[in-house]
Amino acid sequence: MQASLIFIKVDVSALEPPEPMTVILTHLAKLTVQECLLIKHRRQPFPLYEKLNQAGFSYHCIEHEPDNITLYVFHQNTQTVFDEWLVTNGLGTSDFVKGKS
Amino acid sequence: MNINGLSFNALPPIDLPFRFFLTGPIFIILCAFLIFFSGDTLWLSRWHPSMLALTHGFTLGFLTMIMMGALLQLLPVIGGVGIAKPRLVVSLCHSTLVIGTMCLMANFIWPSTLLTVSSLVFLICGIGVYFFALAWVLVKKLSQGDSIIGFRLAMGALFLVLFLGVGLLSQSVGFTSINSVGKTLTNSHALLGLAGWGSLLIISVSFQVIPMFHVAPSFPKIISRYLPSILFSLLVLAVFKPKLMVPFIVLIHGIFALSLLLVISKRKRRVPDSTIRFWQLAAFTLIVLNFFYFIPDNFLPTLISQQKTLLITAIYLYFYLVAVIQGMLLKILPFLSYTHLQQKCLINFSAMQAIPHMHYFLNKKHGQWLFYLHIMTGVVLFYTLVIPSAYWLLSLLLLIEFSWLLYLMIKTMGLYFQTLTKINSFVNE
Repeated sequence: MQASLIFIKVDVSALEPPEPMTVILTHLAKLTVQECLLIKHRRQPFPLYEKLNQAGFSYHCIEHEPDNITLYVFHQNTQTVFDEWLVTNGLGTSDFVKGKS
Repeated sequence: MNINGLSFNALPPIDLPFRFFLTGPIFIILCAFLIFFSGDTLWLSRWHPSMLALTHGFTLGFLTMIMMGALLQLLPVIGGVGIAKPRLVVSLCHSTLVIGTMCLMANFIWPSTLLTVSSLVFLICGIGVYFFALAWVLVKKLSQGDSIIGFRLAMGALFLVLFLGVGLLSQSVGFTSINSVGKTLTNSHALLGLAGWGSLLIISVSFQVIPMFHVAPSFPKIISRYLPSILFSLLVLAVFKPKLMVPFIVLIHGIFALSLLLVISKRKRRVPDSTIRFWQLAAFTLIVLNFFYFIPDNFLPTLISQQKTLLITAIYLYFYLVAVIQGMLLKILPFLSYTHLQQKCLINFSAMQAIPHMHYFLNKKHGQWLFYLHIMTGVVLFYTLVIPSAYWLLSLLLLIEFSWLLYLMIKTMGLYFQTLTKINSFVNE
């Protein structure tokens, strides 16, 4: 299962708003169910979260420091695969914010 | 921090903050007419009725109006949670704040019991409801701690400002009797309003928006963690010991200004930007004010030293508070428009092609003109305080500057709604 998850990495931490959102949306438009978007960001994109759920995506955020976060976004169908990947990598109990419908 | 399970409110509809934003410049345009028709006697004393109307037009009609609108949007972006029932709260707060401020301004010029009671009722309702709506959000455990703590303190200052303002206004209709300490309380009301509600909120917002919008490093931890609390404590102590505390409040602003310049100088995005210029102007103003405040009066020309308090207040208000708010508006007007439109595209990604480039929402050159207009108006304000016969020029420049700001806002909103129609047609396809 784990092998079927392909991570697409983007770093938006040095971009001026609203460029991070533009980059994220551009990648989400092409994201397949086998893929997970791994975003390096400086802050949590709170306004994006609820909209992601409405648009059929799930997300999982790990806050390393207040200005250093990793955000994973994937199709809601991929939730089980992603959860398995989290457990395998020991990331399930870290400081996180997640959302799924 | 684990905030799993917390429900993230979407941004409130864009017309809600824009309602506050659009009203702000209209109040300054009203103030410009007030200056013009009051003549040069307005500038003789801070206690002149028209001067009291003018200061409240600026502080309530412009500063508070825009800060209330901006907080509605900043809280969901920074803290992840917005206020409950935003449309109901905003409709009530905005309308009562507008009516209350107009009644208050009118009451200073044409005092009457009806206007005093109307001001009290509408302002308590407008600011009070807003205070409790935001307090409901701010008592929760939110992300981005230092800024949120600053917001809480600024809201505390707003409550004290309202409390003192209500007390001072009530005495004129005999509800309370504070005549013996009226002047001291008025000073505390003004200090808490400008340096508490105004400055404390700006300082707290800067901890988030400067690193975020300008890709700059975070403020030094010692500043972001302790400066808002120290400033708030000094302001509260200043209610009892103003002469002892005010010099420290001035110094704290100087320290903030230096750290602001330091953070700005380390930003990664070094593109010409009017918002940065407004922030730099604000920082230099605070540094200059430190020198001006501590220079003994006998080193200053008589004309200047006679008006020192009024000059310091006017410079602080215009070159610091109003400057930062204008700079922020130049940044958040296009940003909010763009962000709201982008979110609509999550339903249909192909609709993204309908969104114009950010610069079309607010042309950079137009922002620069606003900056230059602000400098010119500020210089003439300084001149008018010393030579009041220049009041007509100040009135004219205020009219031009804030009409221009209003035009930029209307233009941005117009493009937003045009683009929204296009996006909706994509989504409905």
